Amino acid sequence: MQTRRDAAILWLFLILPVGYMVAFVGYPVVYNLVMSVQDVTLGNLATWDRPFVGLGNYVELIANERFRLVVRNSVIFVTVNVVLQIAFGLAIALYFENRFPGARYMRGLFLAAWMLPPLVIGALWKWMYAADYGLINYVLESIGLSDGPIYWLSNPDIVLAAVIAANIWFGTPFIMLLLSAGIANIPRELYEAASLDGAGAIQRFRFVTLPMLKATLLAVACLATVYTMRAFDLIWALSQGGPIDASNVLPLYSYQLSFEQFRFGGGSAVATFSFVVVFIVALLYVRTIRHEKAM
Amino acid sequence: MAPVNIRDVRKAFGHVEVLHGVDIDIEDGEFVVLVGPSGCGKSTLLRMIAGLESVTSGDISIDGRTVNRLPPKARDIAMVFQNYALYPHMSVAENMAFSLRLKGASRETMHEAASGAAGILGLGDLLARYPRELSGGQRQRVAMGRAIVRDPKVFLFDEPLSNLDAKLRVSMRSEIKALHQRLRTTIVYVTHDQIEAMTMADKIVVMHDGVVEQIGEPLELYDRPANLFVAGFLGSPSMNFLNGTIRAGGDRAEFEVDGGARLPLPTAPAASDGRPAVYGIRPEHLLSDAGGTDAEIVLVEPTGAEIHVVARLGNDDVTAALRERRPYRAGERIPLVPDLEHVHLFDRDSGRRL
Amino acid sequence: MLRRRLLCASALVACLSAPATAQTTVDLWHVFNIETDMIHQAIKDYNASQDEYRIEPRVLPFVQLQTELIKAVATGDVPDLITVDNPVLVSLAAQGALEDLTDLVSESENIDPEVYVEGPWRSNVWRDQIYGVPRDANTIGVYYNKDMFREAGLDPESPPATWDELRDAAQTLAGDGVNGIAFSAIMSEEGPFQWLPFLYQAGGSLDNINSPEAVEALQFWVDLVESGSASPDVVNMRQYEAANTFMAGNAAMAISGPWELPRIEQEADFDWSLALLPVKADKNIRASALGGYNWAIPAGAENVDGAFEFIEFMSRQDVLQNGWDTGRLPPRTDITVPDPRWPEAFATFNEQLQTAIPRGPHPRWPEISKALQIAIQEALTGRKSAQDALDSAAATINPILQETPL
Repeated sequence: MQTRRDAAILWLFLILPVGYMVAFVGYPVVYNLVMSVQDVTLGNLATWDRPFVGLGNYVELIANERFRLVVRNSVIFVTVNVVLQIAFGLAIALYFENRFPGARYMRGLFLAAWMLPPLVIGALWKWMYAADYGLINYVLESIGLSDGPIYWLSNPDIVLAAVIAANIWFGTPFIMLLLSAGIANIPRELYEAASLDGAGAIQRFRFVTLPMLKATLLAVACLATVYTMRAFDLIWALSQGGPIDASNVLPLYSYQLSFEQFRFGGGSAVATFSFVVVFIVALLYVRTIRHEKAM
Repeated sequence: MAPVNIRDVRKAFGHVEVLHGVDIDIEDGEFVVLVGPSGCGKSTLLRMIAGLESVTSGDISIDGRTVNRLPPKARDIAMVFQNYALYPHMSVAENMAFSLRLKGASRETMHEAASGAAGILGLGDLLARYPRELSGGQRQRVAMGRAIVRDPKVFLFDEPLSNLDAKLRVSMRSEIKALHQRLRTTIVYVTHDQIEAMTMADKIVVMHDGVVEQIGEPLELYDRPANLFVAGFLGSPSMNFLNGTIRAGGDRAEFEVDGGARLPLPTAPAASDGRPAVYGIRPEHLLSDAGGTDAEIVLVEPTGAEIHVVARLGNDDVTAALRERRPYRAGERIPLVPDLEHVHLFDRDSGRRL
Repeated sequence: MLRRRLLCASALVACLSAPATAQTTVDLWHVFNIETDMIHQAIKDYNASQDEYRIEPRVLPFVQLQTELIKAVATGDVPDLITVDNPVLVSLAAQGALEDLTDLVSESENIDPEVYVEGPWRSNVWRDQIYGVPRDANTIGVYYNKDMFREAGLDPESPPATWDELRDAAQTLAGDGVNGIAFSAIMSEEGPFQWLPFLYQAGGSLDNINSPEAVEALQFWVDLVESGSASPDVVNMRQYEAANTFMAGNAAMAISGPWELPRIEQEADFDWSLALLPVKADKNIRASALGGYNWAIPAGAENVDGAFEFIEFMSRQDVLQNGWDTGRLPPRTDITVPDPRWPEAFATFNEQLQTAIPRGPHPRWPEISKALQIAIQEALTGRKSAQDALDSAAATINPILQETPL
């Protein structure tokens, strides 16, 4: 029987996390949303009382071809990243299921990539990508794959690919970790039974690993999407979104609008737009988690 | 159907040897049970027959062919796992027909095979269900169905009934036995439960600490256990063991228990007077009759069919399984008479039968 | 017992040593992380010289200070004194983010608008009110590698003086793994900073950004890249990075400013010198960029008086003359630097400073700058022709200038 005191304690425990969420998540989201429908300058930044412009900021954004380019870049960036990170992460996770000497240490080495701050990684890759003295061009030219310097970061046609490659290098270890956990949950006996039933390695992957991982894969895909949509530091260090916005994505664009051009309303509109997209993906994630538990 | 021959098989994990030279011959169509306590190596041996563990040294052959190097799928065997190992995302029919699907069989073939197995096992209504919707016993039957569909030379069972409740275990035992009689395929069955071994096996292999203690028919092992371990392992309640010395003199042979009591012996083995030994007598062979050795009742456990009386004989407690309904009470004295035809003597050091 | 006595004694000492009046802390945010910059010693000297104010400095990287300032304005917790890059100051002032210093300046003995170099002083003024005080000034010139000149058969004592000479020299000097010239065309303020001098040298101007003269100026840069004299990576390089390539011997010439002098002295292991920016032969207009930082006091700062006192302190002869040790030119004509380091460079930069043209000042300078950055990058990457690129820039800039003329 629940006493008054039990109920009070229950409410107290609920208020703490809910309060935290409202204060640190809800408030900034609402603040951003409000800013996105106002005309904000440094002068009125500190107050809530600013002129209301309705959807003016959004209309201005959609009409701006730079914004459309940034959205296109973001879609490509996120899609390619998620697909390839999961593909590589799964391959590496499966590879490390085999016990071979040094496996544990190699796995640790992979994680090293993920543990570095993204800014450091961005600086690192910027050096590697340098056209005239960078490592990548040196290697490519040495083995004869290219006969001249490739301008990874200054050619608007390839810079997005270059940034994506660096981000894949950065994000895959974490995905590998998550998928490893999912794979570890698959009972060994299923593989043994499949072996006995006559399944070879590829068939085991197709009929045991993949179906058992379905829920995990979906959850990981959602998570990876959310993370990648937030990618800022690495791209900033690598190319700052350039040249000419060829590698610019939503978070950077929002930052530039607000903090470099003082167009706070526009920056907030971009941020709110990103938030809506991420929110939808997050909802999907929560649904698949529930489904995963049911299995 | 095929014979399985295991020749001097050893298995080591790193530096630790867990099987120390095992020799077993299984005949075509035989139902052989590998039984023993946890850690005796029976499951490891079974997995080696299946090809899921490598053979460190020795030979395993199926149907005359050495299979040491063959992958599991090439050995023409099927295995039923303790945890069923059913594919959760496939239906019962798909689970059972999976091996056919891997070979690229047609829908009809798969359907036929699945229905056939389902018919034998009474799973006809469940073909479209998924494993998570089934009870433990049904899942086990599906696992067996999957094995049946493969039509293998040898069935391997790895403690299949351990996860079931007691009542279900009893009925599944008979089902498996009936299946064997119907299919006549060689079966190698692993369990730690000696009752399963006794009731189902054509031949029992008792294993302990990586070695084979004794191989033989159930009753043979029961009546003439080769050593202390086998004697104490088979039979429930287990055999009574009393440490003492053989006293043989003239035409009378007796056993002097360490606590002082004296028990009769049928005959003493030659030249054994004064030899330390272990006196073994099963509870059902201890009768309560006048003229027997005096013992004080400690505990009375009626099971319905018998009354298990635990009595103190000198310094030892012995259990007697008595058929007659008498009002036994703790504290009373009871005379115990061993059935001389079923007395066992074992060497105190080696545990071997004398 | 002994412990009690000790506690009493230390409490007494603590009470006695508390100052009679509380010192006011003045929060200063600046970008000068080189240890030898004049500001560090000045802060120590100032704090030691009086009791009323205590300067509490916080060093932030150049790109971060503006972000931090905006965040501070949003929360209402602004520092008392900041250093602002000169083209941005007017934008801040126009948005009401800075304190009006007109009265304080008119009362000041030390700060007299007449003695300041015109360019730097103008960057503080918005609608006839004064919102800042210049701290230092700088400009750009052409660093060149004398050794490489000699090897290529060029006269190291007469560096390129015209566009054509610069183009030819860069062509000659470019070789295996070496760029003829390095400059910064990155998508940030640094790009226009380096390009605008060429615009003015060609006779162009901001309010007619797609004029033929302007196109010529942009085309000059495009040609340098297309001919291979400059690396296409310039669109990705900050001035700092362009100077790096020069110091490492990967570029024979580099356009940069005096702030690099401490590093060049340390890192370059070759004979180098500095030349004025070239002129366009048919126009002969000397023009350069005006860089430098200004002092400003954010609106709503708690200690305006303390901050302004420090500004005055930093504007004294004995402080400003130390600025040159790290390559910072004094923004005042009444300051002399006795026995300057790198005397040649000092003379050259000072001469160049006379023709330095400020960016703006305009309240929407960041947007104008952005349009220029985009045009420069579009042309250098070959995305658009120089004419088309500047046409797009004009479409953005002209409305802004119509709203508020320069």
